[in-house]
Amino acid sequence: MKRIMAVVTQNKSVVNGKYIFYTNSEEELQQISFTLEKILDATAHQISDDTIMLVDHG
Amino acid sequence: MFQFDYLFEERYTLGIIIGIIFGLVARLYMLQTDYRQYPTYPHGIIVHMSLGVIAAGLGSVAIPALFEQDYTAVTFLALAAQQFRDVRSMERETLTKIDSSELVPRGSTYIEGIALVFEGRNYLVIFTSFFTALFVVLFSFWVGILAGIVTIIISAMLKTGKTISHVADVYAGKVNVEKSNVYVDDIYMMNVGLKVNQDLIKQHAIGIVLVPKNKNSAASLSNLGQRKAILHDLSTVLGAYRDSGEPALIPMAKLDINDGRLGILLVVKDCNIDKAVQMVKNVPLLESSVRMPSEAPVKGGE
Repeated sequence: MKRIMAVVTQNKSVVNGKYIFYTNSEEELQQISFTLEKILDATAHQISDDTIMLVDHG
Repeated sequence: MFQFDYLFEERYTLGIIIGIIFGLVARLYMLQTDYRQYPTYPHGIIVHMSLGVIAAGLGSVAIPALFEQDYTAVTFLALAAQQFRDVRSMERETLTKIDSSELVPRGSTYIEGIALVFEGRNYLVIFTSFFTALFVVLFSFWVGILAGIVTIIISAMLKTGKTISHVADVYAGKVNVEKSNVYVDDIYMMNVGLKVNQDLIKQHAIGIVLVPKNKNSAASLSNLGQRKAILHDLSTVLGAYRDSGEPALIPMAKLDINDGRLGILLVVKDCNIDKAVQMVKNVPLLESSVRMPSEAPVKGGE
């Protein structure tokens, strides 16, 4: 069962969903996603240039 | 002093002893522990050798029973079948339990295949000792030995199954990372969001492409269990470059739905592509992944 664990984005218009982390730069986007990937044991997928989604492929 | 002549006079005893010896030799021969390290040494081997003795005993004892017209005694062969079905479920249970602690799991199809082989090989042992004992009792000691050697050769031929090289051409593919998408040649594999992981894949990943030889082989390659078996064997030999909690580096096998090619992406410690290609060719073709769509009794439309 696949589940979206979190969304990390630079795009402030992304509002739908439970766990959204807003970032201000590309580096921060990567850094937060990296940390979340390790914590959540979920895979980081880039869905657009400014948004990364963490999915548990369980 | 032990009298050897006595043995030659007692055909049945001689038949049983030679039958058991040849059955054991056959079991030992079929119990090779290779790079997969299964069965585990030494206790896994001991378990299977002991079961081999039982199988060999059952096979050779059936002969005197038949000759003495004690037909009901032969029904204990049915007991043997029950016994060896238990071997199969024992192997299945053990491997399934172990599988949850593997970084790259074998998958249930591979496990079922291994368990099936363990059961089948015990029957081959029965077959070997049955015929050896039969020929000792019917003809002589030497004819029995000869029959034993022939049956071991037959068992050896039955033992070797097909490998991936029989169904597919295997060659090295190029791993392309385009933005966050990873391809092997032109087969889409997965989306990797993190730059760190993209760099790791650029450095350590190897790509392999399997081209099915015909319609039947395409069916085998599309079997998910067969793919897991390939990935498991590959990462056993080349070393998976991953740890728990690194889901992005998981080995992948994806199909090109249009032409049935299978792309394999693996992040490995030992980036030796020639070894990897050779390894994939030697992966056993799982019996349960074999389909024969070309044999179906249907005719194509006009």
